[in-house]
Amino acid sequence: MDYEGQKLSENLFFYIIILFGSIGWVYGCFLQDFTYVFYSWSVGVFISVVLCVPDWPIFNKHPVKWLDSVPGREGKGVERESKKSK
Amino acid sequence: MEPKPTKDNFEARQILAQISLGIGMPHFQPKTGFSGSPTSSTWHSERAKARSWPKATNASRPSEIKRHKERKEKTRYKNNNMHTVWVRLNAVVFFGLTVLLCLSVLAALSKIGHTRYHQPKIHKLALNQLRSIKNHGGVDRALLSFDLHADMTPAFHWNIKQIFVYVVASYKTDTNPNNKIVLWDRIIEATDPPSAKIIQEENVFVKYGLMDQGAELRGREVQLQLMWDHMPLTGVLYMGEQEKSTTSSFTVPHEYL
Amino acid sequence: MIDLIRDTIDKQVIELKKLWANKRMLTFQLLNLAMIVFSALMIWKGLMFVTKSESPVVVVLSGSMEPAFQRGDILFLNNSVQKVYVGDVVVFKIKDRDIPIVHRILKVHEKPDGKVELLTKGDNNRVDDRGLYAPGQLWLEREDILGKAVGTLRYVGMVTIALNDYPVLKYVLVGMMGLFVLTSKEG
Repeated sequence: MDYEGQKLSENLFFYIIILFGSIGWVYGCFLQDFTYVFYSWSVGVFISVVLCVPDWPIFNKHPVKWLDSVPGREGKGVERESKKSK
Repeated sequence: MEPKPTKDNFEARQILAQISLGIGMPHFQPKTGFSGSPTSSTWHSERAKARSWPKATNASRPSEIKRHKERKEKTRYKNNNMHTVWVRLNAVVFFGLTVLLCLSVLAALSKIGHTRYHQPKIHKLALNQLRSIKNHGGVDRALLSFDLHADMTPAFHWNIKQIFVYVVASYKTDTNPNNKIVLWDRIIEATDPPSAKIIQEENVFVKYGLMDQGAELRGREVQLQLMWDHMPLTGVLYMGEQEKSTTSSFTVPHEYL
Repeated sequence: MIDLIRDTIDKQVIELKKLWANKRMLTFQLLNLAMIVFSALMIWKGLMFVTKSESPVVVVLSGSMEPAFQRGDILFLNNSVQKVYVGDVVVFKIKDRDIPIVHRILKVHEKPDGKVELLTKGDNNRVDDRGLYAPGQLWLEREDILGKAVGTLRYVGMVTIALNDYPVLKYVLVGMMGLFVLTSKEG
Protein backbone atom coordinates (compact mmCIF):
# COMPACT_ATOMS: atom_id res chain seq x y z
CA MET A 1 0.00 0.00 0.00
CA ASP A 2 1.24 3.47 -0.72
CA TYR A 3 0.71 6.61 1.29
CA GLU A 4 -2.33 7.78 -0.60
CA GLY A 5 -3.79 4.29 -0.34
CA GLN A 6 -3.16 4.27 3.39
CA LYS A 7 -5.00 7.51 3.80
CA LEU A 8 -7.88 6.21 1.71
CA SER A 9 -7.99 2.97 3.67
CA GLU A 10 -8.09 4.74 7.00
CA ASN A 11 -10.73 7.21 5.98
CA LEU A 12 -12.76 4.34 4.56
CA PHE A 13 -12.86 2.25 7.70
CA PHE A 14 -13.36 5.30 9.86
CA TYR A 15 -16.49 6.31 8.01
CA ILE A 16 -17.80 2.79 7.45
CA ILE A 17 -17.67 1.80 11.10
CA ILE A 18 -19.16 5.07 12.26
CA LEU A 19 -21.90 4.88 9.63
CA PHE A 20 -22.94 1.33 10.43
CA GLY A 21 -22.67 1.99 14.14
CA SER A 22 -24.83 5.10 13.99
CA ILE A 23 -27.52 3.57 11.79
CA GLY A 24 -27.69 0.57 14.11
CA TRP A 25 -27.81 2.85 17.11
CA VAL A 26 -30.70 4.91 15.82
CA TYR A 27 -32.62 1.81 14.77
CA GLY A 28 -31.98 0.16 18.13
CA CYS A 29 -32.98 3.31 19.99
CA PHE A 30 -36.26 3.37 18.12
CA LEU A 31 -36.98 -0.29 18.84
CA GLN A 32 -35.40 -0.16 22.34
CA ASP A 33 -33.23 -3.16 21.65
CA PHE A 34 -29.45 -3.04 21.80
CA THR A 35 -28.95 -6.21 19.71
CA TYR A 36 -29.57 -4.24 16.51
CA VAL A 37 -26.75 -1.89 17.42
CA PHE A 38 -24.42 -4.80 18.00
CA TYR A 39 -25.26 -6.55 14.75
CA SER A 40 -25.01 -3.43 12.68
CA TRP A 41 -21.68 -2.61 14.31
CA SER A 42 -20.26 -6.07 13.65
CA VAL A 43 -21.35 -5.91 10.01
CA GLY A 44 -19.57 -2.57 9.74
CA VAL A 45 -16.38 -3.92 11.28
CA PHE A 46 -16.44 -7.00 9.06
CA ILE A 47 -16.88 -4.92 5.91
CA SER A 48 -14.06 -2.62 7.02
CA VAL A 49 -11.72 -5.51 7.64
CA VAL A 50 -12.49 -6.97 4.22
CA LEU A 51 -12.19 -3.65 2.40
CA CYS A 52 -9.39 -1.88 4.22
CA VAL A 53 -6.92 -4.40 5.56
CA PRO A 54 -5.84 -6.43 2.53
CA ASP A 55 -3.73 -4.77 -0.11
CA TRP A 56 -6.27 -4.16 -2.86
CA PRO A 57 -5.15 -2.56 -6.14
CA ILE A 58 -7.08 0.68 -5.52
CA PHE A 59 -4.70 1.36 -2.68
CA ASN A 60 -1.72 1.19 -4.99
CA LYS A 61 -2.68 3.88 -7.48
CA HIS A 62 0.04 6.31 -6.35
CA PRO A 63 3.17 4.25 -5.91
CA VAL A 64 6.05 5.83 -4.08
CA LYS A 65 8.83 6.94 -6.38
CA TRP A 66 11.86 5.36 -4.82
CA LEU A 67 15.24 6.69 -5.84
CA ASP A 68 17.32 4.47 -8.07
CA SER A 69 19.71 2.32 -6.09
CA VAL A 70 23.36 3.28 -6.32
CA PRO A 71 25.35 0.37 -7.68
CA GLY A 72 27.91 -0.96 -5.22
CA ARG A 73 26.09 0.22 -2.12
CA GLU A 74 23.38 -2.46 -1.98
CA GLY A 75 23.13 -4.82 0.95
CA LYS A 76 25.18 -2.72 3.31
CA GLY A 77 22.36 -0.59 4.62
CA VAL A 78 22.03 -1.90 8.17
CA GLU A 79 25.70 -2.24 8.98
CA ARG A 80 26.55 1.20 7.74
CA GLU A 81 23.76 2.79 9.74
CA SER A 82 24.69 1.09 12.98
CA LYS A 83 28.35 1.97 12.51
CA LYS A 84 27.40 5.57 11.87
CA SER A 85 25.25 5.97 14.95
CA LYS A 86 27.89 4.38 17.17
CA MET B 1 10.97 31.32 12.95
CA GLU B 2 10.40 27.65 13.25
CA PRO B 3 9.16 26.61 16.68
CA LYS B 4 11.63 24.54 18.65
CA PRO B 5 10.45 21.19 20.00
CA THR B 6 9.95 22.24 23.58
CA LYS B 7 9.67 19.79 26.42
CA ASP B 8 5.99 20.66 26.92
CA ASN B 9 4.68 19.99 23.51
CA PHE B 10 6.93 16.98 23.10
CA GLU B 11 5.35 15.17 26.03
CA ALA B 12 1.90 16.18 24.99
CA ARG B 13 2.50 14.81 21.54
CA GLN B 14 3.94 11.60 22.93
CA ILE B 15 0.78 11.04 24.93
CA LEU B 16 -1.35 11.92 21.93
CA ALA B 17 0.62 9.47 19.78
CA GLN B 18 0.11 6.64 22.27
CA ILE B 19 -3.59 7.37 22.68
CA SER B 20 -4.20 7.54 18.96
CA LEU B 21 -2.34 4.27 18.39
CA GLY B 22 -4.31 2.75 21.22
CA ILE B 23 -7.68 3.67 19.79
CA GLY B 24 -6.61 2.52 16.38
CA MET B 25 -6.08 5.78 14.49
CA PRO B 26 -2.42 5.74 13.52
CA HIS B 27 -2.81 8.51 11.03
CA PHE B 28 -3.81 10.94 13.72
CA GLN B 29 -0.42 10.61 15.27
CA PRO B 30 0.86 14.14 15.19
CA LYS B 31 3.87 14.46 13.07
CA THR B 32 6.95 14.98 15.11
CA GLY B 33 10.25 16.22 13.91
CA PHE B 34 11.84 14.64 16.89
CA SER B 35 11.86 11.03 15.82
CA GLY B 36 14.31 8.87 17.71
CA SER B 37 17.78 10.11 18.13
CA PRO B 38 18.33 13.80 17.62
CA THR B 39 21.72 13.11 16.18
CA SER B 40 20.41 11.11 13.25
CA SER B 41 20.89 12.90 10.03
CA THR B 42 17.34 12.38 8.94
CA TRP B 43 16.14 14.62 11.72
CA HIS B 44 17.63 17.74 10.31
CA SER B 45 16.39 17.07 6.83
CA GLU B 46 12.91 16.38 8.11
CA ARG B 47 12.85 19.56 10.12
CA ALA B 48 14.14 21.51 7.21
CA LYS B 49 11.53 20.04 4.91
CA ALA B 50 8.39 20.71 6.89
CA ARG B 51 7.05 23.08 9.42
CA SER B 52 4.34 20.95 10.82
CA TRP B 53 3.59 20.80 14.49
CA PRO B 54 0.29 22.31 15.40
CA LYS B 55 1.38 25.80 16.18
CA ALA B 56 -1.16 28.37 17.18
CA THR B 57 -1.81 30.08 13.95
CA ASN B 58 -2.28 33.77 14.11
CA ALA B 59 -3.66 33.64 10.62
CA SER B 60 -7.13 35.01 10.68
CA ARG B 61 -7.50 35.30 6.97
CA PRO B 62 -9.25 32.29 5.40
CA SER B 63 -6.67 31.95 2.64
CA GLU B 64 -3.83 31.68 5.11
CA ILE B 65 -5.69 29.16 7.20
CA LYS B 66 -6.45 27.11 4.11
CA ARG B 67 -2.81 27.17 3.04
CA HIS B 68 -1.67 26.21 6.51
CA LYS B 69 -4.12 23.29 6.59
CA GLU B 70 -3.01 22.09 3.17
CA ARG B 71 0.60 22.18 4.20
CA LYS B 72 -0.18 20.24 7.37
CA GLU B 73 -2.10 17.62 5.37
CA LYS B 74 0.62 17.23 2.80
CA THR B 75 3.50 16.96 5.18
CA ARG B 76 1.59 14.89 7.71
CA TYR B 77 1.62 11.89 5.50
CA LYS B 78 4.96 12.27 3.85
CA ASN B 79 6.84 11.36 6.95
CA ASN B 80 4.69 8.57 8.35
CA ASN B 81 5.76 4.97 8.27
CA MET B 82 4.38 2.61 5.72
CA HIS B 83 1.87 0.54 7.66
CA THR B 84 1.97 -3.22 7.57
CA VAL B 85 -1.07 -5.45 7.43
CA TRP B 86 -0.91 -5.96 11.19
CA VAL B 87 -0.97 -2.25 11.92
CA ARG B 88 -3.98 -1.84 9.67
CA LEU B 89 -5.78 -4.78 11.23
CA ASN B 90 -4.95 -3.50 14.70
CA ALA B 91 -6.24 -0.07 13.72
CA VAL B 92 -9.54 -1.38 12.36
CA VAL B 93 -10.23 -3.69 15.28
CA PHE B 94 -9.40 -1.21 18.01
CA PHE B 95 -11.19 1.62 16.33
CA GLY B 96 -14.21 -0.65 16.03
CA LEU B 97 -14.04 -1.46 19.73
CA THR B 98 -13.73 2.20 20.61
CA VAL B 99 -16.80 2.98 18.54
CA LEU B 100 -18.69 0.14 20.23
CA LEU B 101 -17.74 1.55 23.61
CA CYS B 102 -18.99 4.99 22.59
CA LEU B 103 -22.27 3.54 21.31
CA SER B 104 -22.78 1.66 24.57
CA VAL B 105 -22.07 4.71 26.67
CA LEU B 106 -24.37 6.82 24.51
CA ALA B 107 -27.11 4.24 24.92
CA ALA B 108 -26.65 4.33 28.68
CA LEU B 109 -26.69 8.14 28.71
CA SER B 110 -29.80 8.26 26.56
CA LYS B 111 -31.75 6.59 29.31
CA ILE B 112 -30.78 8.77 32.23
CA GLY B 113 -34.18 10.18 33.07
CA HIS B 114 -36.07 7.02 32.31
CA THR B 115 -37.28 6.11 35.79
CA ARG B 116 -38.90 9.46 36.33
CA TYR B 117 -41.55 8.80 33.74
CA HIS B 118 -41.68 5.03 33.68
CA GLN B 119 -42.38 3.39 36.99
CA PRO B 120 -43.50 -0.21 37.32
CA LYS B 121 -47.02 -0.51 38.62
CA ILE B 122 -47.47 -2.48 41.79
CA HIS B 123 -51.02 -3.50 42.09
CA LYS B 124 -50.83 -5.67 45.16
CA LEU B 125 -48.32 -7.05 47.59
CA ALA B 126 -49.93 -8.45 50.71
CA LEU B 127 -49.80 -11.36 53.06
CA ASN B 128 -51.98 -14.24 52.08
CA GLN B 129 -51.52 -16.59 54.99
CA LEU B 130 -49.07 -16.93 57.83
CA ARG B 131 -48.45 -20.64 57.80
CA SER B 132 -46.34 -21.15 60.86
CA ILE B 133 -44.11 -19.47 63.35
CA LYS B 134 -41.78 -21.73 65.27
CA ASN B 135 -38.62 -21.54 67.26
CA HIS B 136 -35.68 -23.56 65.96
CA GLY B 137 -32.55 -23.55 68.04
CA GLY B 138 -33.29 -20.22 69.68
CA VAL B 139 -34.25 -18.52 66.43
CA ASP B 140 -37.80 -17.55 65.51
CA ARG B 141 -38.84 -18.50 62.04
CA ALA B 142 -42.06 -17.61 60.26
CA LEU B 143 -43.22 -19.23 57.04
CA LEU B 144 -45.89 -17.47 55.05
CA SER B 145 -47.39 -17.02 51.65
CA PHE B 146 -48.32 -13.81 49.92
CA ASP B 147 -49.99 -12.38 46.83
CA LEU B 148 -48.10 -10.32 44.34
CA HIS B 149 -49.45 -8.46 41.34
CA ALA B 150 -46.98 -6.18 39.65
CA ASP B 151 -46.29 -4.97 36.15
CA MET B 152 -42.57 -4.54 35.62
CA THR B 153 -42.66 -3.70 31.91
CA PRO B 154 -42.05 0.08 32.29
CA ALA B 155 -38.75 -0.61 34.01
CA PHE B 156 -37.21 -2.14 30.90
CA HIS B 157 -35.37 -0.23 28.20
CA TRP B 158 -32.67 -1.10 25.70
CA ASN B 159 -29.84 -0.72 28.17
CA ILE B 160 -31.33 -3.08 30.74
CA LYS B 161 -30.11 -6.64 30.72
CA GLN B 162 -32.31 -7.90 33.52
CA ILE B 163 -34.35 -6.80 36.51
CA PHE B 164 -33.95 -8.58 39.82
CA VAL B 165 -37.23 -8.32 41.72
CA TYR B 166 -37.43 -9.15 45.38
CA VAL B 167 -39.83 -8.90 48.31
CA VAL B 168 -38.37 -7.40 51.48
CA ALA B 169 -39.81 -7.82 54.94
CA SER B 170 -38.72 -5.20 57.43
CA TYR B 171 -39.38 -5.06 61.13
CA LYS B 172 -37.91 -3.73 64.38
CA THR B 173 -36.88 -5.57 67.47
CA ASP B 174 -35.30 -4.52 70.72
CA THR B 175 -31.89 -5.99 69.88
CA ASN B 176 -31.91 -4.88 66.28
CA PRO B 177 -33.62 -1.58 65.47
CA ASN B 178 -33.60 -2.40 61.79
CA ASN B 179 -34.03 -5.75 60.09
CA LYS B 180 -34.56 -6.30 56.42
CA ILE B 181 -34.96 -9.79 55.03
CA VAL B 182 -35.50 -10.91 51.48
CA LEU B 183 -38.34 -13.40 51.39
CA TRP B 184 -38.65 -14.08 47.71
CA ASP B 185 -36.86 -13.07 44.52
CA ARG B 186 -37.14 -13.52 40.82
CA ILE B 187 -34.97 -12.71 37.82
CA ILE B 188 -36.70 -11.18 34.80
CA GLU B 189 -34.51 -10.91 31.75
CA ALA B 190 -34.92 -8.43 28.95
CA THR B 191 -35.14 -11.28 26.48
CA ASP B 192 -38.10 -12.87 28.24
CA PRO B 193 -41.50 -12.64 26.56
CA PRO B 194 -43.71 -9.72 27.65
CA SER B 195 -45.89 -12.02 29.73
CA ALA B 196 -42.93 -12.84 31.95
CA LYS B 197 -42.53 -9.18 32.78
CA ILE B 198 -45.85 -9.08 34.55
CA ILE B 199 -45.94 -10.88 37.87
CA GLN B 200 -49.29 -12.34 38.85
CA GLU B 201 -48.77 -14.66 41.77
CA GLU B 202 -51.39 -15.80 44.26
CA ASN B 203 -50.53 -17.56 47.47
CA VAL B 204 -46.87 -17.90 46.62
CA PHE B 205 -44.69 -19.48 49.27
CA VAL B 206 -41.63 -17.62 50.50
CA LYS B 207 -38.27 -18.85 49.24
CA TYR B 208 -36.34 -17.86 52.33
CA GLY B 209 -37.92 -18.12 55.75
CA LEU B 210 -38.51 -14.99 57.75
CA MET B 211 -35.92 -15.64 60.43
CA ASP B 212 -34.93 -13.39 63.25
CA GLN B 213 -31.45 -13.43 64.75
CA GLY B 214 -33.00 -14.16 68.09
CA ALA B 215 -36.44 -15.04 69.33
CA GLU B 216 -38.06 -11.63 69.08
CA LEU B 217 -40.26 -11.99 66.04
CA ARG B 218 -43.55 -12.59 67.83
CA GLY B 219 -45.82 -9.62 68.14
CA ARG B 220 -43.84 -7.46 65.70
CA GLU B 221 -45.27 -5.55 62.80
CA VAL B 222 -43.69 -6.66 59.53
CA GLN B 223 -43.86 -4.48 56.44
CA LEU B 224 -43.71 -6.06 52.98
CA GLN B 225 -42.13 -4.01 50.23
CA LEU B 226 -41.25 -4.80 46.63
CA MET B 227 -37.83 -3.70 45.44
CA TRP B 228 -36.03 -4.25 42.17
CA ASP B 229 -32.51 -3.86 40.87
CA HIS B 230 -31.84 -2.72 37.31
CA MET B 231 -28.80 -4.38 35.81
CA PRO B 232 -27.70 -2.53 32.72
CA LEU B 233 -25.69 -3.68 29.73
CA THR B 234 -23.33 -0.77 30.25
CA GLY B 235 -23.23 1.65 33.07
CA VAL B 236 -24.65 2.28 36.45
CA LEU B 237 -26.70 -0.22 38.45
CA TYR B 238 -29.65 1.38 40.18
CA MET B 239 -32.49 0.30 42.44
CA GLY B 240 -36.15 0.98 42.49
CA GLU B 241 -38.64 0.36 45.22
CA GLN B 242 -42.29 0.41 45.93
CA GLU B 243 -43.50 3.60 47.53
CA LYS B 244 -43.54 3.24 51.27
CA SER B 245 -47.04 4.65 51.44
CA THR B 246 -48.48 1.86 49.33
CA THR B 247 -46.88 -1.02 51.23
CA SER B 248 -48.87 -3.35 53.42
CA SER B 249 -47.94 -4.83 56.75
CA PHE B 250 -49.06 -7.58 59.00
CA THR B 251 -48.49 -8.39 62.64
CA VAL B 252 -46.90 -11.61 63.75
CA PRO B 253 -49.05 -13.33 66.40
CA HIS B 254 -47.74 -13.53 69.94
CA GLU B 255 -48.07 -17.27 70.18
CA TYR B 256 -46.25 -19.90 68.25
CA LEU B 257 -48.29 -21.59 65.57
CA MET C 1 2.69 -17.98 6.44
CA ILE C 2 5.98 -19.19 7.96
CA ASP C 3 7.82 -16.70 5.78
CA LEU C 4 5.65 -13.91 7.11
CA ILE C 5 6.41 -14.86 10.69
CA ARG C 6 10.12 -15.23 9.97
CA ASP C 7 10.07 -11.90 8.22
CA THR C 8 8.39 -10.17 11.16
CA ILE C 9 10.78 -11.73 13.66
CA ASP C 10 13.79 -10.71 11.57
CA LYS C 11 12.50 -7.17 11.33
CA GLN C 12 11.98 -6.98 15.08
CA VAL C 13 15.44 -8.39 15.73
CA ILE C 14 16.99 -5.79 13.43
CA GLU C 15 15.05 -3.04 15.20
CA LEU C 16 16.22 -4.29 18.57
CA LYS C 17 19.85 -4.46 17.38
CA LYS C 18 19.61 -0.91 16.12
CA LEU C 19 18.13 0.12 19.44
CA TRP C 20 20.89 -1.50 21.42
CA ALA C 21 23.52 0.17 19.29
CA ASN C 22 22.13 3.58 20.03
CA LYS C 23 22.05 3.86 23.82
CA ARG C 24 20.41 7.23 23.85
CA MET C 25 17.48 5.99 21.83
CA LEU C 26 17.28 2.91 24.01
CA THR C 27 17.00 5.05 27.11
CA PHE C 28 14.41 7.17 25.39
CA GLN C 29 12.28 4.20 24.46
CA LEU C 30 12.63 2.68 27.92
CA LEU C 31 11.48 5.92 29.46
CA ASN C 32 8.60 5.89 27.00
CA LEU C 33 7.61 2.47 28.22
CA ALA C 34 8.02 3.49 31.84
CA MET C 35 5.78 6.49 31.28
CA ILE C 36 2.98 4.30 29.97
CA VAL C 37 3.31 1.86 32.83
CA PHE C 38 3.37 4.58 35.44
CA SER C 39 0.41 6.43 33.94
CA ALA C 40 -1.62 3.25 34.19
CA LEU C 41 -0.48 2.80 37.78
CA MET C 42 -1.44 6.36 38.65
CA ILE C 43 -4.91 5.91 37.23
CA TRP C 44 -5.30 2.74 39.27
CA LYS C 45 -4.11 4.36 42.46
CA GLY C 46 -6.33 7.34 41.83
CA LEU C 47 -9.35 5.09 41.47
CA MET C 48 -8.40 3.28 44.65
CA PHE C 49 -8.34 6.59 46.47
CA VAL C 50 -11.64 7.88 45.13
CA THR C 51 -13.58 4.71 45.78
CA LYS C 52 -11.80 3.92 49.08
CA SER C 53 -11.57 0.34 47.97
CA GLU C 54 -8.53 -1.85 47.68
CA SER C 55 -9.65 -3.15 44.32
CA PRO C 56 -11.88 -0.66 42.57
CA VAL C 57 -12.30 -2.78 39.46
CA VAL C 58 -12.92 -6.52 39.61
CA VAL C 59 -13.54 -9.21 37.04
CA VAL C 60 -16.41 -11.62 37.56
CA LEU C 61 -14.87 -15.08 37.75
CA SER C 62 -17.73 -17.43 38.50
CA GLY C 63 -21.18 -17.90 37.15
CA SER C 64 -22.99 -17.52 40.45
CA MET C 65 -24.55 -14.21 39.46
CA GLU C 66 -25.73 -15.23 36.04
CA PRO C 67 -27.47 -14.09 33.98
CA ALA C 68 -26.74 -10.62 35.26
CA PHE C 69 -22.98 -10.84 35.45
CA GLN C 70 -21.22 -13.39 33.32
CA ARG C 71 -17.67 -14.60 33.58
CA GLY C 72 -15.56 -11.91 31.99
CA ASP C 73 -17.58 -8.84 32.89
CA ILE C 74 -15.87 -6.15 34.85
CA LEU C 75 -17.47 -4.40 37.80
CA PHE C 76 -16.66 -0.97 39.16
CA LEU C 77 -16.82 -0.84 42.91
CA ASN C 78 -17.40 1.93 45.36
CA ASN C 79 -16.55 1.44 48.97
CA SER C 80 -17.12 4.98 50.16
CA VAL C 81 -20.78 4.27 50.94
CA GLN C 82 -21.40 4.07 54.64
CA LYS C 83 -24.32 1.71 54.72
CA VAL C 84 -25.11 -1.25 52.60
CA TYR C 85 -28.72 -2.15 51.99
CA VAL C 86 -30.53 -5.36 51.37
CA GLY C 87 -30.47 -6.22 47.68
CA ASP C 88 -27.19 -4.46 46.93
CA VAL C 89 -24.69 -6.33 44.82
CA VAL C 90 -21.48 -6.34 46.82
CA VAL C 91 -18.03 -7.81 46.54
CA PHE C 92 -16.68 -9.31 49.72
CA LYS C 93 -13.75 -11.36 50.89
CA ILE C 94 -13.83 -13.95 53.61
CA LYS C 95 -11.10 -13.35 56.19
CA ASP C 96 -7.89 -15.14 55.31
CA ARG C 97 -9.05 -16.03 51.85
CA ASP C 98 -7.84 -14.44 48.64
CA ILE C 99 -10.74 -14.65 46.32
CA PRO C 100 -13.28 -11.84 46.26
CA ILE C 101 -16.85 -12.95 45.72
CA VAL C 102 -19.63 -11.00 44.02
CA HIS C 103 -23.05 -11.72 45.51
CA ARG C 104 -26.19 -9.95 46.61
CA ILE C 105 -27.16 -9.10 50.17
CA LEU C 106 -30.05 -11.22 51.36
CA LYS C 107 -30.43 -10.20 55.00
CA VAL C 108 -29.45 -7.14 56.99
CA HIS C 109 -29.69 -6.96 60.78
CA GLU C 110 -28.69 -3.62 62.18
CA LYS C 111 -27.68 -3.18 65.81
CA PRO C 112 -28.40 -0.06 67.88
CA ASP C 113 -24.79 1.12 67.50
CA GLY C 114 -25.03 1.01 63.71
CA LYS C 115 -23.10 -2.20 63.16
CA VAL C 116 -24.69 -4.53 60.66
CA GLU C 117 -24.68 -8.25 60.21
CA LEU C 118 -25.18 -9.44 56.68
CA LEU C 119 -25.98 -12.61 54.84
CA THR C 120 -25.31 -12.89 51.13
CA LYS C 121 -26.38 -15.17 48.32
CA GLY C 122 -25.57 -15.47 44.67
CA ASP C 123 -28.51 -14.99 42.31
CA ASN C 124 -27.82 -18.23 40.53
CA ASN C 125 -27.12 -20.28 43.66
CA ARG C 126 -29.69 -22.42 45.40
CA VAL C 127 -28.61 -21.61 48.95
CA ASP C 128 -27.17 -18.67 50.79
CA ASP C 129 -23.45 -18.20 51.34
CA ARG C 130 -23.15 -19.52 54.90
CA GLY C 131 -21.36 -22.52 53.47
CA LEU C 132 -18.71 -20.23 52.03
CA TYR C 133 -17.99 -18.30 55.19
CA ALA C 134 -15.25 -19.27 57.59
CA PRO C 135 -16.17 -22.17 59.88
CA GLY C 136 -18.34 -20.90 62.68
CA GLN C 137 -19.00 -17.59 60.93
CA LEU C 138 -22.70 -16.93 60.51
CA TRP C 139 -22.75 -13.31 59.37
CA LEU C 140 -20.61 -10.90 57.39
CA GLU C 141 -19.68 -7.49 58.71
CA ARG C 142 -19.25 -4.18 56.91
CA GLU C 143 -15.47 -4.60 57.04
CA ASP C 144 -15.61 -7.75 54.96
CA ILE C 145 -17.22 -5.84 52.11
CA LEU C 146 -14.78 -4.54 49.51
CA GLY C 147 -17.34 -2.40 47.82
CA LYS C 148 -20.74 -2.10 46.26
CA ALA C 149 -21.03 -2.67 42.53
CA VAL C 150 -21.99 0.55 40.84
CA GLY C 151 -21.23 -0.02 37.19
CA THR C 152 -20.48 -2.73 34.70
CA LEU C 153 -18.89 -3.34 31.30
CA ARG C 154 -19.45 -6.61 29.48
CA TYR C 155 -16.72 -9.02 28.39
CA VAL C 156 -13.87 -6.57 28.88
CA GLY C 157 -12.46 -8.80 31.61
CA MET C 158 -12.15 -11.85 29.37
CA VAL C 159 -8.49 -10.97 28.90
CA THR C 160 -7.88 -11.31 32.65
CA ILE C 161 -9.62 -14.65 32.76
CA ALA C 162 -7.60 -15.95 29.82
CA LEU C 163 -4.41 -14.74 31.49
CA ASN C 164 -5.41 -16.48 34.70
CA ASP C 165 -6.20 -19.76 33.05
CA TYR C 166 -3.10 -19.82 30.87
CA PRO C 167 -0.31 -18.02 32.74
CA VAL C 168 2.09 -18.35 29.83
CA LEU C 169 -0.08 -15.83 28.00
CA LYS C 170 0.97 -13.21 30.54
CA TYR C 171 4.57 -13.41 29.44
CA VAL C 172 3.62 -13.49 25.79
CA LEU C 173 1.42 -10.42 26.15
CA VAL C 174 3.90 -8.38 28.15
CA GLY C 175 6.70 -9.39 25.82
CA MET C 176 4.73 -8.35 22.76
CA MET C 177 3.69 -5.06 24.27
CA GLY C 178 7.22 -4.29 25.35
CA LEU C 179 8.53 -5.15 21.92
CA PHE C 180 5.94 -3.00 20.27
CA VAL C 181 6.69 0.05 22.39
CA LEU C 182 10.45 -0.37 22.29
CA THR C 183 10.67 -0.76 18.56
CA SER C 184 8.03 1.60 17.30
CA LYS C 185 9.38 4.93 16.31
CA GLU C 186 6.79 7.56 16.82
CA GLY C 187 5.94 9.77 13.86
